[in-house]
Amino acid sequence: MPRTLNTLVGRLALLQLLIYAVLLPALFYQLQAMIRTNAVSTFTQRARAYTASLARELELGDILESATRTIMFLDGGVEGGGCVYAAVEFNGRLLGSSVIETPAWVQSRGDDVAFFKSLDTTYAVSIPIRRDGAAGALYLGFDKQPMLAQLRSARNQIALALVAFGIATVAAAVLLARLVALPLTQLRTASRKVAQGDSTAHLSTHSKMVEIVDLSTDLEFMRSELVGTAERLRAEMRQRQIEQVERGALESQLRHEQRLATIGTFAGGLAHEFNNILVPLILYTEESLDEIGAEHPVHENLDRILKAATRAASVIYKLLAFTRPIAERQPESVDLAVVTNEALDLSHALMPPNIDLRREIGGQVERVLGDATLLSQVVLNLCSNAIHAMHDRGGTLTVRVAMRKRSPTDPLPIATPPMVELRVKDTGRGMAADIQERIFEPFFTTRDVGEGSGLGLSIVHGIVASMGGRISVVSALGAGTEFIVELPTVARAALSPEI
Amino acid sequence: MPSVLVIDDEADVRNSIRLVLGRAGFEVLTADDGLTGVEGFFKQPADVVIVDIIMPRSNGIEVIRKIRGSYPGARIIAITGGGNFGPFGYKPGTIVTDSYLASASQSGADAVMTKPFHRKDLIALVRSLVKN
Repeated sequence: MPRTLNTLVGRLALLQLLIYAVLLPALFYQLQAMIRTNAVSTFTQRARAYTASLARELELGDILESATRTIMFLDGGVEGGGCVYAAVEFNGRLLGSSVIETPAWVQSRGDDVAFFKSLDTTYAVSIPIRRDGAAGALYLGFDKQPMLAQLRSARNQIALALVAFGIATVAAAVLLARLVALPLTQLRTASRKVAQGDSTAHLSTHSKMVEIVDLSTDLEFMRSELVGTAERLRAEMRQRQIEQVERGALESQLRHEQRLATIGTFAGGLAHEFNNILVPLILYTEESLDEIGAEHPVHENLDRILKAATRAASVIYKLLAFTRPIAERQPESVDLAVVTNEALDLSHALMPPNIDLRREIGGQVERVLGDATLLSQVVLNLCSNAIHAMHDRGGTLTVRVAMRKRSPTDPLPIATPPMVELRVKDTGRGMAADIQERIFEPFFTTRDVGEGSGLGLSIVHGIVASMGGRISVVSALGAGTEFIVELPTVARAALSPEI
Repeated sequence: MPSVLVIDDEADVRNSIRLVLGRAGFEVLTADDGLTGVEGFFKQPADVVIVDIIMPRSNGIEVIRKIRGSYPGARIIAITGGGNFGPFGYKPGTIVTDSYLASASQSGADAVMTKPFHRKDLIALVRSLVKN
């Protein structure tokens, strides 16, 4: 069944049409029969009464005595009754009206009695006459056509009236159905909006119909309950996701910190041992150099030993920087933007021509609590790594200093106070995940032998951690690397001295 | 001849210092742990004491306090190889090189030196303390 017929309007209209298909023809035929019976009965009665009254006059008067008077009487009868013929048979003679021709069959046809007895257009009436022992009959013919025309007209009017009634009632039904369907459509539109996530759409209609109002009230109640439940569930889910992300990030950070702590302790012990070894190495060498004089053949070799030992001391000093969380100097309020700009000015001379430096340093950046020299070292170290990652193919080095903005997937608690962010981004080769895991470990390097000590990033990590900050890396093979240093602002550091 | 007492648990460190300072004209005495060093000093007070901070049996800080307590005029140099030890782990506030040295200064050391150091720096420092 087509969709249109399945609507409320369609079904009501169809139902009415089916009822009318049976009812209206029946009504039509019934009405038509009633009218016809009445009209025909009146017509025949009047015709017969008229004929009878003329016959009575002929019986009682002396009109029949004279043929001329009889014919004149019949002429008057034709005019008075609107007849199509008038004739009288008496004493074996047949006399007819002079104004209209008398049909030849008038005696043989006799009396019709019933209106539709004959199919022609004449209604024949015959009344017997008796006068002075003699018998006869009066024959009058009446035209059926006006009567038949009247019946046809009546039939047409009935048909028209019934068709008009049918159309009017079907239209009324359609209108009524629409009135019922409109609020339902409004409810459906609103419920679709709710289903699509518009929790503000209210399930209400303008209808005043009690049933519709009750239905919309119940639906609206159900909607508000559902929306409330959905909101709660969504909020709970969001909270759980945040907790999960936070927990994951914290666990990962903790693992990372523990790993670095172990390495730090190990490196610290190693540095101590080496420093103790270097004391006699340096002192004995210097003593020997002093003793033998510059001309001695081993002087040069001893000098080389001394230089090597001094270099070893310098490496150990750097290693200790990784394990040294707090500088000797008191931390001071530092403008990271200024420090970064100065460091970049310094490193600009060392920048290969195929690398484009982009500074995004500006806007309102709060001051951080730390050491300007160490922070400068952080910037230089990160830039040096970035330059190294791009030195063969060139690229863009972007350095950005700004207040940290929260992102939807931020692992830090929402209440985290403001932090300043230093981002150093290159368009170099990028790093695989296993390398990213280890880059902050001392002596870990991807550079060729002799190109780097592997201490740069561990020193950076130590400095950032000592200032209560964090350092993270975002990288993918072929997609470059970005280091993100987050440092607490002076206000925040003052609020949480335990960091 | 001015005397120097070297207290260090590392024999190579003790002996190399003894050689350098001995040739520079000092009388050098040595001790291989804190307790022995303090006892030695009380028996024969030296003009300058060079003391390592991390040692078995009474560490350098305790040695400095004890000597300073009895001999306020003693001249003491604290030395350390630095590093990061013990249960502290790697975390902010851990006692490391700088903290050792700062702690040594606070307990009364006249000078602090990080290992390794150069011969001329060591001799210059000892001489400057002897003069004072």
